[in-house]
Amino acid sequence: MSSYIEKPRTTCSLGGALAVLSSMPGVIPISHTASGCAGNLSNATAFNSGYCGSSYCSGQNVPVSNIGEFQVIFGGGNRLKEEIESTFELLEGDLFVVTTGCMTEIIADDLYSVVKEFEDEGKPILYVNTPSFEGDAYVGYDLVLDGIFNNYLKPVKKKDPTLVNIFGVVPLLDPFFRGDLEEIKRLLEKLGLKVNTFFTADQTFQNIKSAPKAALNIVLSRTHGVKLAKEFEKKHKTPYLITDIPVGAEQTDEFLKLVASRLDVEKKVVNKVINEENKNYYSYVERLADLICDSEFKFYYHVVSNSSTALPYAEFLEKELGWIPENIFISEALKKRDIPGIEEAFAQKKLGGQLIFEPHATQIQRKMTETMVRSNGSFYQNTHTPVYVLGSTFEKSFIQKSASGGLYVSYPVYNRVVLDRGYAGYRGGLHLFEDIFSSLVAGR
Amino acid sequence: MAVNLNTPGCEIKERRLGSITGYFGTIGDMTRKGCEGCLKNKKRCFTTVSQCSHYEALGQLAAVDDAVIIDHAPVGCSAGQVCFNRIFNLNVSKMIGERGRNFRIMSTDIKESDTVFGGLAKLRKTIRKAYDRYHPSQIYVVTSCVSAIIGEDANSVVEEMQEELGIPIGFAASEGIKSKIWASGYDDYSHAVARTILKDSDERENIINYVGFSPLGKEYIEGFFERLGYKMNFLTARAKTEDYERASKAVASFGQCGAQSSYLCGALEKRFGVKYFQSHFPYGGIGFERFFREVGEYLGKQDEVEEIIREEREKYADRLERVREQLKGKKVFIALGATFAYEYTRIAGELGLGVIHTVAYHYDPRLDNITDERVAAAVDAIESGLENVSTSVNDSQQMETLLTMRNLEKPDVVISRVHETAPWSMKIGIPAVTGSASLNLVGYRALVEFGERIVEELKNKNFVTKLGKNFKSPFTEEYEQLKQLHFLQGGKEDVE
Repeated sequence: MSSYIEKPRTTCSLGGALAVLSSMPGVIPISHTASGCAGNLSNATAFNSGYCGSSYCSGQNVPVSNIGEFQVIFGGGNRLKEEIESTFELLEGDLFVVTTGCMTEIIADDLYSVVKEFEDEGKPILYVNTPSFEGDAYVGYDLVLDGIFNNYLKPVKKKDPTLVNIFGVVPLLDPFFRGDLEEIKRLLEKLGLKVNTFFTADQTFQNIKSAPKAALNIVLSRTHGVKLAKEFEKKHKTPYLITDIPVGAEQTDEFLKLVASRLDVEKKVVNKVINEENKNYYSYVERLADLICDSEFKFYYHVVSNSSTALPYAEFLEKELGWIPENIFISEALKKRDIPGIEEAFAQKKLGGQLIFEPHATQIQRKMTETMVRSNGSFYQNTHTPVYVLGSTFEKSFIQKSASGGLYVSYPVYNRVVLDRGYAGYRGGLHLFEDIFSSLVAGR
Repeated sequence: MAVNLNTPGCEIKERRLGSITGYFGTIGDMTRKGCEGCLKNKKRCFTTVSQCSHYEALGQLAAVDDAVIIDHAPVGCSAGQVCFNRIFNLNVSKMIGERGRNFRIMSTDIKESDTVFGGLAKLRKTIRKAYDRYHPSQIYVVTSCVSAIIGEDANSVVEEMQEELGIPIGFAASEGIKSKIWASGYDDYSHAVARTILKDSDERENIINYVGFSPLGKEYIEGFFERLGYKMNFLTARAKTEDYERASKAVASFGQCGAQSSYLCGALEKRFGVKYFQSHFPYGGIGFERFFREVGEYLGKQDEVEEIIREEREKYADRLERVREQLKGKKVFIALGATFAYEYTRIAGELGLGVIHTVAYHYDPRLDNITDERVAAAVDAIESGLENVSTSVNDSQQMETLLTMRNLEKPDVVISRVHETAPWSMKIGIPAVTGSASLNLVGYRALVEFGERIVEELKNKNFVTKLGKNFKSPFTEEYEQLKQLHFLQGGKEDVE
C-alpha cells in the first residue's frame, strides 16, 4: 500500500505528458479523458511554473474527448474517434498525440483500433497511455517522449556525428526549462555540435524528426529521461550520457569536457570555449566580492528541489558561493529504484550536508527548523544561522518566518515570473549569483 | 428536484435545474425556452478541456476555516489546487487581515493497485494521519472519478471515522464525470458543509448571509446593510466555523451568483427558512436598485432603501455621464460564468456599450429556491432590452469562443475572467478587462468604476496590438474559410 502525499509538488503522468506536448513545436495533444483533467492540470502548470502560461493548443485549449457517465458505461471509443476527426479537420499540426486519463484506462477503451484507423490513412498520429495512477508528471514525461521517439519515429541508417539530443529537463516541472536548454544549446554549439532541445523557441517539428540521427543523447538528470534514453538506444542505436544539469562555471567546465570526450571534439576546441566563458564569468563574479565582504553574506543553506536540480544547486552553493550545507531535500516522490543513482551522484560530488528524500511539505519545514539551534544566550554559540533556502514557493512561509533569505527555483513557483531565465551553464551561474544576492539586498 | 440534504451526495445541476452547456442563439430565445422548461442541451463534434466539479469542490472546501481535506483520488486531481490556494486562501487572508496558511489537502494518491484491491484502508489511514497532524475542527473527504468507478463506499468510512475521532467529518461525492458543469462542484461543497457544520437555531439575528468566493469588495455593500440595521455574515473563503453556525440565525441570504451560491442559499432556505433573495443581483445601477427594493420590501425598510438609491444615483451621476460619453460607440464581447455573463451584459448596456456576443460557461434556467419567483438574469435580460443580443453557452470551450470572437464583428474590448478567453483575445489583438466575480461590482459606484476601467484599457493598446500582429491561428486554412461560429452538432438535440 503506497502512502498519501501532502501538498504534492507534481501533477500526474497525464499532467506531465500535456506539459511536454504543450511545449513541443507543431505537436497537438488530444486528451481522451473527462472534461476536467486537462484543465485542472494546466492550471497547475500555467500559473505555478513561473507563470509560464499556455500556448498553441495547450492549457485551456487542449482538444479533449470529454467523456462522461454515458461513455463510462457504453465506451468512449466513438467519442474519441469523432474528436480526432474534428481535430484533424480543424487544427494545423505536424503530429497529434492521444493521451489518456484514469477513467479511460479503467473502462479500457480500445485506443489501438481507434488510432490505427487514422494511422492507416497516413495521418500523423500516435497514442500514449498516461493514466494518473501510472505515476507522477515526471513519469508522464518519460512515457510521452518514449511514445514519440521510440514508437512513432522510425530508425535511420545514417547518423549525424555532430547531432545531439537533450533529455531530462522536464518542461514546466523544471520552471527554467527554456532558459536552461537555450544555454546548454549555446555552449554545445560552440563546440561545433548541432543540438535538439525540442522545447525552445528555435525548435521546429524537423528537430523531432531528426532525433533518431543523433550521435548522442545527453540526459541532464539522474532520474528523468533515463528510461527513455535506454529504450532510445535499443531502438535507434544512439548511445546516451547520463549526467547532471551543470550550474555555474565549475560544473559546466566538467560538463563540456565530458560531452567532448564522448563525441571526439578536439581538446583544443573545448579548452578554448572554457577559457573564453570563464574569462567572461569571472569578470562579473569578481566584482561581487565588494558586496559579499561588505555585507558578510555567508549562510547555512537548504536546497529543496527535484532530483534533477537539487544536487547541481547544492554543488553551486557549496563550491562556487562557499556557503555551508545543511539539508538537500529531493522533493518529488521517487521510485525506490531511482534513489541509489542520486545517492551515488551525491557521494561522487563529495557534497556536504544531508541528502534527504522527502516529498511532504511540512516534514521538509520541520527538518529545516530542526537544524537551527535555539540560542542559549552564549555569544560564541553556533546557532547554525543565518539560513538561506533555495526552494519552491511552498517554502515561502518558512523563509519569511525563520530564514534570512531565499530564492524560489523549484516547482511550484508562483511568486516570480520566469521567461528566458535559466540557471544552467555559465550564464545561468551568473543569473543565480544575481538572483541570490538580489534577494538579499532587495530590502535595502 | 430541489435541494435534498438527506442523501450523502447532491443531484447535479443538469438534472436539478435543467442546466445546459450547449446553446447558440439569442438571449431572448434562450431565457424564454428556459422559463418554459423546454431548453435542450446540444452536443459538440469538437471539444476542448474544461474543468470539473471535483476541482471546484476541493478548492471551496479547502478554504473553510481550519478544515483539512482528504482528496480520495490519484495525485493529479489536486495538483491544480495551488491556484486556489493563492486566490481563495492567501489573498483572502490578506484581505481580512489574517496570517495566511497554505491549503491543507492530503491526497490518498490512488495507484493502479488500489483500483484493483481498493483504497479504503488507505483512506482510513490518511484521515487518522490528518487528524494527528493538524487536530482540525473538521475534515472533508472528497471522492473522485476513480474512487467512484471502482465502487468505493467512502461514505461509510467517513461515518466510521467520525465516530472514532469525534469531530465532524464531511463527505463530498464529487466525481468529475458526474456533471459536465464544473459549477456542480460548488453544490458538492454546499451540500457537504450544509450537512456537516450548519446548525439549527431558534433565534433570529439581524444578519444577512452572503455566499460567494471571497469577501472581496465588501465595502461596496456592507454600509448599506448597516444603514438598514443589518450585519453581513460572509460564507466565503476563510469563513470561520462560527460563521457557518450563525448562518441559520440570519434573516435572509443572497449569493455572489447562481452557479456558486444557489445551493447553499437554497439549503439555508429549505432547512432553516432563511429567505433567499434570488431574483436580482445587486450589480451595476439597475441591479442595485432592483435588489435593494426587493430587500427593502422584505425587511419593511422601503423608505430607507429609496433614500439610499437616490443618494447613490446622485453621487455618481456626473461621472457616469462622462464615462458614457467616452465609451460611445464602443462594442464588447463577453465570456463569463453562468450568472456574471448576463449581469455584465446588462451592465455593458447601462454604460452605453454595444454587446456583440455573450458567452456563458453554462446556463441555469432556474435556481435553488423553494418559491416560484422569477430567476435572476433571465427575465432581467428581456426587461432590459437585451432580447436580441447574440449569445452562446459553452463550458469554457475556448477554441469555440475564439471562433465566435473572430468570425463576428471585431469588438473594442473583451470582458472575461480566467478560463483563457482573455489571453486569446489579447493574442488576436483585442484588449481584455477582467469581469470580476465579486462584490466590487455592486451599485453605481462599481458601474462607474468599471466603465472607467474600460476607458483606461483603451487609452494604450500597444501591447495587444503587437501581440495581434504576431498571432498564428491554430485553425487550418480551410477551416478559417468556413467562418463557422460554433462546434454544436446541427439540429441534433440531446439531453444526455
